[in-house]
Formats: sequence, C-alpha cells, structure tokens
Amino acid sequence: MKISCPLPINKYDIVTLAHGGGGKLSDRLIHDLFIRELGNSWLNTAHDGAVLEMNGKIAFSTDSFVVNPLFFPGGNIGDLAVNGTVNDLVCCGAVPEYLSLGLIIEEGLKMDDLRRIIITIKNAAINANVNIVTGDTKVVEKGKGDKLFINTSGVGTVPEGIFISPERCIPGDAVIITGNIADHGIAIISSREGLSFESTIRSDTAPLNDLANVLFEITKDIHVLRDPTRGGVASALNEICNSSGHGILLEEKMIPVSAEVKGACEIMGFDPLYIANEGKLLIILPQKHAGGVLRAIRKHSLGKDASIIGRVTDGPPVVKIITLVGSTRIVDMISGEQLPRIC
Amino acid sequence: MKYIDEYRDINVVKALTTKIQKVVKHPWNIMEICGGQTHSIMKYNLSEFLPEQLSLVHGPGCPVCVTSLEKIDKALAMAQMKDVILVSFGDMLRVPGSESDLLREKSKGADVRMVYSPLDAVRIASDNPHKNIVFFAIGFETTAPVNALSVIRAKQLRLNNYFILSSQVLVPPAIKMVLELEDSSIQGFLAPGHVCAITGYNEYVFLATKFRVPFVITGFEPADILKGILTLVRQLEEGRSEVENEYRRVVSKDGNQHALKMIYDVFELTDQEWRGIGIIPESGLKVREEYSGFDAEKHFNPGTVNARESGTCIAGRILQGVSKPPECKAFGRECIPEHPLGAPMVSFEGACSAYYRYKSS
Amino acid sequence: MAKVSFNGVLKDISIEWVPEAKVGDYVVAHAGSALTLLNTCEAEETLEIFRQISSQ
Repeated sequence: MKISCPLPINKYDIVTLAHGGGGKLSDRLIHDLFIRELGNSWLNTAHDGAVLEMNGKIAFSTDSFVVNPLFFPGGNIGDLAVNGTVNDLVCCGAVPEYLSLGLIIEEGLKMDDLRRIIITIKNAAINANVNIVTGDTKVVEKGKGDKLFINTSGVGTVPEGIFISPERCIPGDAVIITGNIADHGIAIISSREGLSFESTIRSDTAPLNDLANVLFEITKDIHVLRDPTRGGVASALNEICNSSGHGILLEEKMIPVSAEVKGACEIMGFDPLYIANEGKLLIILPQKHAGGVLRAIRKHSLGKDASIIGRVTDGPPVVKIITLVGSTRIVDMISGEQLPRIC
Repeated sequence: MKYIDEYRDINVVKALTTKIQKVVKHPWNIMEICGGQTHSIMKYNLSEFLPEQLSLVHGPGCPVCVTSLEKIDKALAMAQMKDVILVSFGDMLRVPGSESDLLREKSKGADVRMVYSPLDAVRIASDNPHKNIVFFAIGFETTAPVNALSVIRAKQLRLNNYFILSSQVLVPPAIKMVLELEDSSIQGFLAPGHVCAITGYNEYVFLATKFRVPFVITGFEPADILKGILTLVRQLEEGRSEVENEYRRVVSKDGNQHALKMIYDVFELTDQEWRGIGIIPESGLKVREEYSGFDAEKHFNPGTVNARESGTCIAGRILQGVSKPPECKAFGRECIPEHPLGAPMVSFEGACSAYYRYKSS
Repeated sequence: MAKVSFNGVLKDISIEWVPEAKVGDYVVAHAGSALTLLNTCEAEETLEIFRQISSQ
C-alpha cells in the first residue's frame, strides 16, 4: 500500500523530518519552494548536478553559514550565504558565476522563515549576478542543528592578467579598506538577548564583485584581496602576514568606523578591528596605484568611506598599529570570539 | 564622542609625556589597580611614553582574574544542574576552573548565557518562571550597586527563581595586602576612577596616611592616565604622600552615597579568597541574611569543591605586582590565550593577556 | 530607567543612583547602571588645564 501525503507544502507551517526524507514531501518542498523561487535552466532539471561551460582559470570556493539570530538588522542568513561565497570568489580575483546551495534544516524551523530566506537567496543571487545551479536539502532532528545551516560553494573565472595571492604582497604596498568596519558584527550583537541595544546599525552584507570591477578597471596589478569576515580586519591581516612573511603597519586614525559602531563598542568594550564585516574588502596593492583606486572606489555606493589604512612593511610577520595617541602596539590574532568586558 | 575623544588627543598626550620626562629624576614603582586602566595602558601602549626609571606594575584590579577557583567551580557545578540558567558577564565565560570553563559547559549542553547587566538576568528570570536563574555576580565596588539592585528588583517582582553567586571584591583591602607584602616595592598608586565614583576616596586618605604612600584618583583615557602618573610622580619626587583627585569630573570625595547604601542594604563584608593570592580579610561582599533567599550558594549548596590550580601558574605573584608575566616559565609557551593556565591570561584586562597581545616584540 | 545615548546607540540604563539626571546630562554608565553624572564644569576645567599644558 502506498502512503502518500495529500497536503500541499503550504499547509505545513514547520519543516518536518519527512521534508528531508527523499519522498513525496521532500519532492514537494523542492518543487513548491526551491524550484519555484530559484528556478532556472539548471535547477529545473532537478538533476544530481549541473553541467557548466567555463573558460580559462577557474576559482572555486566554499563557505558554510551559521548565524544566530537568522534574521538581523540589514539582512538574514540567506544574504550571507550568497554574498559570502561571491565575495570569497572575488578575493580570488574571479568573476563569480555559479553557486551551489546546501541546506541542513533543523526539524521545527518555521516554513515562513524558510520561505523568506529562500526569497532572500533568490534576490541576493540576482543582485550579485550569479546563478544557483544545484542544491541539496537535509532535515535533522530537533536539537541536532541550530535552526538552519547553509553551505554555498561557488565557481568563477579569473580573467587574464589577474593574480591575487597573499604571497604577492611586498613591503611598501598600501592597504585599503573599502568602508566602515564592524557594522555586521555589531548588528548581530544588537539583536541578541542580553546584549541588545537600539541603533540604526545594519549588517553591511553585500556582493563585492561590482566594486571589484571598478578596482580592476584602474589596475590589474592588485596583490591581495580579502573580505574580513569572522575575526575582523585584525584576523584577516594577521593571516596575510603569516602567508606573506611580511609585516603590516596600520594607522588607527585612518580606520573608518561609524559613530554608532564606536558607541556600541564603547558599551561592550569591543575593539572594532576584531569584529566581522560582510560587505567590505581589504585591498593590498602597489602604493603608486593606491590614490587612483581609492578615488574610483569612493564613487561606488559600497566604497564611499574607503580609506588607506596602512602599508606592508619589512620585518617579522606581525600587524602593528600606530594608535590615536602616536604610540605603536601589536594587533594580535584573537583567540575565540571577543567577549563583552565588565571593566 | 564628546567628553571622551578630547582625552585621547595626541597633542595633550605628547605634552603630558614631556612633563613627566622632566619631573622624573629617580626610579619609581607605581601600580594601577583597575582592569580598565590596565586595558587602556596596554591598548594605547602608554609605557612607550614613560621614562625608563618609571615602572608601571599592574595590580589585582581585574575582577575576572581574582575570582577564586572555588567560586568558578561552583558556577560550573550550578550550570550543570537541571533547570538552571547560568548567567554571566561575557569575560567570565572563558576563565578556567579546575577542569572546565563556562563556555565548555555551554558547548556540552548547559544553558549558559551572557548579559551586559545583572538587570538583564532578572529579566531572564521573569521570562523563565520554571527555571532557576543564577547570576554570577563578580566585580569591584563599581559593579556591586547594580548587583545589589538586581536582588532588590527580583524581590520587588516577587521572583523566587533569581539567585546570585557572589564573588565581589573591594579595592582598599587589596591595596593594604600589596603594601604589607614582604617584598612589596610599590611606592605609589593610581587609584581606580570608577570604583571611587561609588565609594569616594576617604579610605584612600587613611591608607596614604598609614603607609605614607601617595594615591592619585585616575580616569581611563590616555590623557587621564598620564595626568594621573604626572601628579603621582610629582608627589613621589617631592616626598609627599597625599590623595589627589585627577578624575574630578566623575569622582567626589564622598562618592555616591545612594549607591553605597544599596550595596550595604543587600550585602555585607566577608573574608574573601582572591585567586592566586589567598584570603584577604573583609575584602569581599556576601549576601545578607535578609536576602538569603537570593543567595545561590545557600539555595543550591554545591558542596565543597576540590579546587585545583595549575602548579606552574604564578598568577598570584603577578596580581600582587611582585612578578611580571614574561618572568613566568609558562608565559607564551603552555600558557597562551588559546589555552590559558590562569585567569590573567584569559581576561582582556589580565596582565598576562595584555602583555601577550599588546607588547611589541 | 533612562535612555542613554552612546554616540547614537540607545540603551536602557538604570539611573537609580542619579535620580537628579535630566535630559541632556552626561553619565558614566557601567553594567546597565549610571554610576554618576558627569560634572561638565570639572570636565571643561580639566580640558582647559590640558590646553594650557599643550601650549607650554
């Protein structure tokens, strides 16, 4: 006897284990939600994978997204999932083209929330000019997954003449950040129980491929691109130092931080250098191009607060900063997350 | 930020530095007892501006660092109990107990939550009537008033599920302890600005007279700290031992009497164990009998805990200003922020953590 | 309770011990409570001292 579930997908207000079971309910979820919202020539075949035609050097990146809360000021996990991998590809010097979308859903997630997130993913992909060509969904028991985990992997082609790698940075290179730092991390914290405050701070989640095009139009001689996500600017620059073997010297007064983020950091005792960004680029390039690149980026909506924040130096692979009061100190790699200080 | 940025002005800092260089003629050891001041000194690397003869020693002013191992183990035991939500300030979460820490317990399934204020913990209690909320109340006199207020609020709301695990400490007994050490070399103190905002500084006048040691009430911004140091070394060079207030915009001699009354309505003095140092008489606060219904230790009775400290860790000597972190055998080797042996390496204000993160190589 | 602005970020802070606080006043905030009012006269005096030191 066949057992079939007669209820259409929109009669379920939560995701159940059956939705990930591979049977009729799974099929309904895929067609009525995923393909309906995200559908394109690849996804519509509902096949095991997508066959793509690409030319030249291919960049390939993967990232997984876990965020609490799922919805925060300025976006939701869907934005991060698309923009995060798009930006990782940008940091390889690539033009992002295709993404995969893997979902691990905890039983009990509200269907409305899932729908909102999928629609966000659709819009983010359109905005980033990428296609989601293949995907997978699993549902885990309640308590076995923090509402929703998303993995996106992506491919893009690297144009001729572009070679991005942390090993390329050399002493004398300028370090640029494309805008105000710490917006995303503070937006997340502002919506967490126990630490919440009222502000207009929103996540800066955004795809950076268009901004990168502006950059490459000025010069292809860009040495390093990095999006300073978890661990912030400080961690990203420390990683670059370790890879390149060179040091970096920053100037605190040149680092752009919005007034409200400064205020939030004062309350919590945070250092904005260690707080996540989701729509910013660190650019390391020859000093001679820095001025031109800065001017060009500042004309773009995602780069209006861009600033030259330091330079690559000889010496040990350490990040140092000239403080507001003129002294120099080390900017170490943080271990674990910053925790709000009592004192 | 008004009334903050002006005290981070580079020209003011340069001018104060020049003055300090001119005034200092002899070697001096001075101590700051406030985690916030230690943090500021490290963040702005103010030692870079000081003449070599001036040695700045970081005292036991980090409430996270001095919370006893036994208290942390009790917090861990309570976190593991069914239907308990353990609520804490953020920087306590990574401090190692004998075998674990609160973050690790959280990852094993304990309900451990971080708050900005104990008043948020009361809200959690109100929102979760079927759970017991234990707030890990650490802090110096700056935090004691709001810890007390949380108990009063809970009483007003008739909550029977809000408890505090008190590990609150007082500054003047710690200063007395430092000055009474056999090998104490501290000749002057930067007194903690926000503690004095609450307590005033009459007790420091007593200490200055008894021990013939100068105190300068000091703020937290770079210009405040350098002005505090300047005023302190002037006293030292002139052979004076007075209490001067360089944080007049915040601190008055008698402090905030209203806040003080609230502290002692809810809490009373007790002998307190300071991690790595030992018991300092009448240096802590415990919940008064009238409020014993809110005392976590009385309610949960986690029993005696066999607190075991790492043998190599010299946190005690560092907190008392007798040793500096680089003198510790484990510093930078077995003991780093990723796997700390003691509290001063975990807390951002801890001397060891500050040295590790901020000191130029 | 009062709404305190930290450079535009608003947080509810207890003014239990500074009941005289009024809109526009500056406070020192810690762990959800205001410790004291900022004495703006003293603040300006301190800044004036700093200005004099800087110009010497």
